[in-house]
Amino acid sequence: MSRPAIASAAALIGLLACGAVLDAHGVSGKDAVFLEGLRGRAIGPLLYLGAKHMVTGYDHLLFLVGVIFFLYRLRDVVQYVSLFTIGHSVTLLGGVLGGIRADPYLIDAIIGFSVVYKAFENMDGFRRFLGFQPDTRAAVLIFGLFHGFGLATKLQEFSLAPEGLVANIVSFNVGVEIGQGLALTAILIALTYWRTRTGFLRHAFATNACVMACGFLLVGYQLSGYVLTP
Amino acid sequence: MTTTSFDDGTTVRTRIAAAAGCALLVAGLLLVAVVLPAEYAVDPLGTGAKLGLLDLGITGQQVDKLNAEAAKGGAAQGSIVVDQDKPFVNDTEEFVLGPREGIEFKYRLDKGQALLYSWTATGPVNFEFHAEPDGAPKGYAQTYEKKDAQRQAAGTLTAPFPGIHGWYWENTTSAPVTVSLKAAGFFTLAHKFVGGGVENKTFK
Repeated sequence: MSRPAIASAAALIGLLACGAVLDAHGVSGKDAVFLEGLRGRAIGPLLYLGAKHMVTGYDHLLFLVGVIFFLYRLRDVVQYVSLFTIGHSVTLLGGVLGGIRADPYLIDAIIGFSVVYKAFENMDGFRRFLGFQPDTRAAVLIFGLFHGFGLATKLQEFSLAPEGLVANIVSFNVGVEIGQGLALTAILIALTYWRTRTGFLRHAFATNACVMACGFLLVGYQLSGYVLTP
Repeated sequence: MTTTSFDDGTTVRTRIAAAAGCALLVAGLLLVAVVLPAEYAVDPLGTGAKLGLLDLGITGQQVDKLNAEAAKGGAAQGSIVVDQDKPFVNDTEEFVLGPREGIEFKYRLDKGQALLYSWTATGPVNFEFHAEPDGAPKGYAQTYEKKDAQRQAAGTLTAPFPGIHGWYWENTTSAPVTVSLKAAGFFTLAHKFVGGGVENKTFK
């Protein structure tokens, strides 16, 4: 099998496997029980849950893959990832502390769309079709806002106690960044290795098409959840 | 030269459009053929039934429904006085748990039936007070209460759905522990699950 075929097969298998355990819509059942029973600060557990959410959150990971796909210099990686971090931290903290929430299916559909957008950008679609490239930094920042709002909405599905809420949410947010750091390291190692191979540029287009398919699937999955779930 | 670059531009655009179209098509097919039956028990192409995914979706939908009903709670607490025509029963049970042994004991209750209970243990035990609704998928249980290292608990339960309701006790110590249960209600049947088998107890 060729490398992009393997990569896309792995991506799809991962996606389907994750779909099967998504019943609790982001936070698994036993963790949810823990969150609801919480009174006061629990910095360690929330750091862990934040990191877990990021590492197992394939929608965030797919977007990150798209973002750093063509970033070769570490400085650029740090810059883009910082923009994403600022974006999702603002809405995660603001959303939970301000009690702002939206329909989780619709937010997750937008997050799926962010994956499609980024893949289209990587395929050079905007320049070829629109004749110009919309600001890539702004796109990462704005989609970061939606990713954070998705996290905030999921956390608010639980009746979180007001005691220690600020400390707990900040811990969750820091945990998200730790998880993101871990995931990014793994993605960067894989990408860096792949770039040293001759096939990288040849398969880059097909890979982004696969990422786009995953994005479309996420959009469809979430929108059907919105329509079919009472 | 201009012609060439124009041609190139068109070719590239066609390629991107084709790839995006393929991506959309593949995603749509996977969604309808695989994800919808497995997640929402919706199977327009019949592929879910062929691949066995439909069962997954149906179970998931049942569990979601049961969880939603349980979250609403109090579905059973319609009225304060509930008349019973079954005989009133007092039951006492004693279970000896060896080191690291567990036992499960459940009463069959109809929706809205009440149970009064009190149990004590001679040593610390981990317990889970839970129920299996009638018609629920195998392995599904609704947990009411779960605590570690307890020596007693007492209270009342009004069954939120018909099914078997009761406790799992586990002795995590290295010495034997005796659990003594007293219960009162209108039950006619209880099940003791021990070592992979079931013992039934009927009440008159």
